[in-house]
Amino acid sequence: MKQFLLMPEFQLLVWALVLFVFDAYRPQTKPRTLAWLGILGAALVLGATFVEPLTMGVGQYFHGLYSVDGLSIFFKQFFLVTLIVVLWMSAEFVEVLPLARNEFLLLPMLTTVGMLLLASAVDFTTMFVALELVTISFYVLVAYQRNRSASLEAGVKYLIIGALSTGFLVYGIAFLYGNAGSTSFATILETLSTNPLNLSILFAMALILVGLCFKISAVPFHIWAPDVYQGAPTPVTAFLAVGSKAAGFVVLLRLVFFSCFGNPVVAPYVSSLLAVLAGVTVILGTFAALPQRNLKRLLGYSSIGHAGFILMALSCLSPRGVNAVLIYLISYLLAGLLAFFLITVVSKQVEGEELVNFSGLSKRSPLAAFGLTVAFVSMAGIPPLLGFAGKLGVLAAAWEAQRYVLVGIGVIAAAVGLYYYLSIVRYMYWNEAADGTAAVKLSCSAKWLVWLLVAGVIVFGIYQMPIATVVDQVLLGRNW
Amino acid sequence: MSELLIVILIAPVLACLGIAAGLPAKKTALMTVLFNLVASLLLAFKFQIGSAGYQFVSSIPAMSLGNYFNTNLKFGVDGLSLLLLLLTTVVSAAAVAVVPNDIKRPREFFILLLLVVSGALGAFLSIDLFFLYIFHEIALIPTFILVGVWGNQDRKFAAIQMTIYLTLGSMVLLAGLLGFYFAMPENVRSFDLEEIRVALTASPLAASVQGWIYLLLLGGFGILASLCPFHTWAPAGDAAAPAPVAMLHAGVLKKVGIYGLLRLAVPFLHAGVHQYVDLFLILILLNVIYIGVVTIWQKELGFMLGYSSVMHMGMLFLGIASMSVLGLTGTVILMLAHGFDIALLFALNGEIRRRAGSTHFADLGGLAQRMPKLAFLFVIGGLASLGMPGLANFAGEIHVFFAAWKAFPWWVTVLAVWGIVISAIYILRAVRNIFFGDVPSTLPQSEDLVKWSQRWPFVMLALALIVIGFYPRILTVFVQPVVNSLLGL
Repeated sequence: MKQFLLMPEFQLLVWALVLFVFDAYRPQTKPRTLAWLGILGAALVLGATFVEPLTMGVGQYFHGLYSVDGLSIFFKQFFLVTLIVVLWMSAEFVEVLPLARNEFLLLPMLTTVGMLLLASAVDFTTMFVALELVTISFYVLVAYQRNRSASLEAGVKYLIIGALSTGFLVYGIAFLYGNAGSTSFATILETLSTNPLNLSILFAMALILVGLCFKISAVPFHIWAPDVYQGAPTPVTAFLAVGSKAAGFVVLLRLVFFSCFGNPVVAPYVSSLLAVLAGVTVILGTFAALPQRNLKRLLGYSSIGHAGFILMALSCLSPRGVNAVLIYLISYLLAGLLAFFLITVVSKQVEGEELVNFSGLSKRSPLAAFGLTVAFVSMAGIPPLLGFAGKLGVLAAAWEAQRYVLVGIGVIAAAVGLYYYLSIVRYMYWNEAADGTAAVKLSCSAKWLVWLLVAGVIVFGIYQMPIATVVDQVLLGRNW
Repeated sequence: MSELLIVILIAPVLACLGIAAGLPAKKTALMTVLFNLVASLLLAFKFQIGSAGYQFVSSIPAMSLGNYFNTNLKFGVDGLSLLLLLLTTVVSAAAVAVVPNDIKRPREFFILLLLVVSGALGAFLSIDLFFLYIFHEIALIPTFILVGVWGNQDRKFAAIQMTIYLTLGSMVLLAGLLGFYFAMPENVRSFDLEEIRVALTASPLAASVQGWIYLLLLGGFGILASLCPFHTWAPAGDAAAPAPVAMLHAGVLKKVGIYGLLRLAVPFLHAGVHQYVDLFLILILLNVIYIGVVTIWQKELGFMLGYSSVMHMGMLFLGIASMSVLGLTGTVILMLAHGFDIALLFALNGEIRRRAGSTHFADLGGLAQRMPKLAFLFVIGGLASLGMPGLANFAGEIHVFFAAWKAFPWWVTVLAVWGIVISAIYILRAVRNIFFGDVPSTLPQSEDLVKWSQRWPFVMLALALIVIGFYPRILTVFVQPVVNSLLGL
């Protein structure tokens, strides 16, 4: 029981349920108040995760279903930070919704419960349940604007492709269970290392990895990303881009590096499969982004490209690669949330998410234009911003693993990527405003968040020691 | 004195913050670059001539990247980087000084310009390759915005073309640097040039690996320094950029490419250089002859200068290709000579545009009657550019030609010397078209550089050309020990 109380999942779940009940009895509560209560809860849980290794202790719990280790703690903090910013963003966004505003603020908390559980899952059953909790609450969130056909379309697409990929995943898990007689990562690792490799294991592995590509929006399950990014409410898009992608990567990391597929027998197969997927994903995401004229759709494609870059690092299955994955995710967390936050605030006032709507933004709101520029330049991987650290790590890992083709793809994709990011900057700085020249206003709390994220991208880009230290902690936890 | 080095580097950044906080933009920027000029001259006087190692070294260990890269933020100068520091401070002082007082959005302009300056300074002062790369990249996005917002002619296209091309170049370069890093034995991997020297003198890289890495670095640095097939961004970008940006870019930032080859390829990859010397020579001759012919065809001063700058890069590369004391010394002299020269010409290009409203040869003529002083300065810059003895470029080119004659078959030098003839053609034609002949009736009334406050940046650059031209030893005493140590002599 004590362990239950100490679980961040449980704490956040209780807080979310309390807020649901609170909202039911006090429906006149302002959405903003509710959002701040949610942020408070997330911040408290975030604080608790820092002492988790002390209170709960590193190790496995609940008969080997749940693990507390460096990896899980890192990602729990990652998801909670994402949740805080997403709630902050939703508070700005929620006025646009005609009805059921408060639930829009509470659902992300439930999604996060799933993500937190996912970070700790060391058994396929826990992993699957957590993954479905995340995905199902996203089905609701994506289709939240019932009066907008784009939102509904996005919801349907996400549902269908999500269900398909879940099918792959379950099928793969079933095969693996058939081979190993267990769903526990540790047992499977043991079985794989002692028994000879057979085709059905490779088949199972391929199905599982491909199924997980849905979450990280990588080839072959990338096709939903542009439509869903464009159609979903912007805070949900941000949550998908950052939180959901990281949730996919935490599972992948645990599977291919920290446990069952990490053993030397299957590792070469895993590595080659991921490398191929990474290369194709990077090329597709980067080049398909070029002709886009809708900002959110463009970011959808660019997020496919980023997923490819992270996969590229992951496919090396080396400590340097994992290090690069984590740094890349941190940089994408800061820059991605910054970009989506500003898109939420600005598009509400310029009435549109097309690139043209952002024309002349530098005159209408210098801070917003500056913030977006920092976010995009960081995503493009230009020093001295944090995004460069991610790109550098990826290329270095690929080079160290002697995957020269991937290095070549990465080099070209980075240059092409800068092209479409700069084309957004061009709209904001060079073009005159098309519709209206009224100033775009940022609320006080919005300004705070923007400065915070901008400072994060710049300061950690120049002074990388803190990030390197945090990431090293994760890798130390490999030997649990 | 090592503190002074750090101060030089930080001063532009502080000035940026100051300007953002509300200090008068031009005054602050000008004070900063003048301070840097004085400080770098002071460093040059304190510099101990004759030693090849780095002096005024200081490092900031907190800026490392964790366990996965052995980088070390370390600043210092040897004879080579000291000269390039002087080039940067002189050109940046001139560049800030020639910014017109009525420029739009001055605050943003000077902040971005100072960021470009600090990027160039950092690149030349870093002893660590990784930070050399980072500092060069810092200048990238500010240049993009400067060209796009304050540029002229086809600025939007030029800005984006230039930025993407340079990014591609620096990504190739990054791949090359990573290749270099991982090619070293695992326990001695480092980006620190001093540590690399120790590690690779003991056990040089295998020849096949060197060739690989050299090609990547040649591609990367070649794009940055506009080596022939990768040059297309340069003329358009420099022609579209506002004068101060073109000065800094063509005069200083392009030299980072040459500097990188000198620092990396010459000492550590000589097997690679020898292996691909034929390819390199073909590209160099294309640079000189083909681009030279293209330059002759230009009908607009900015483009002509842009192409001529690309063309002159061929001479610098030729010096490197010869891999000899004479050739490398010539390259270094040319780096400074070309830097001062092209900065002077681009600055005058900006003045002419502002006064005459156009820089197309067809719209201009007879300006020498109205602006004799400007014309005089332009002729000095032009003569330097075509290699007139007594001016800086001649001193460098003669070194390079002698070295090339010794190192390569005779026809290489014979073809390269044609570059001088070609330069003479386009420079003299430009001088005739712009400054002599009849004044077109469409030309607006405008005055010469009347006051010394307007004139001094140009005069400073012209003086630098004359001093180096008459007394190149002022450079060679600094360079000699470095060149010897680069060649392992």
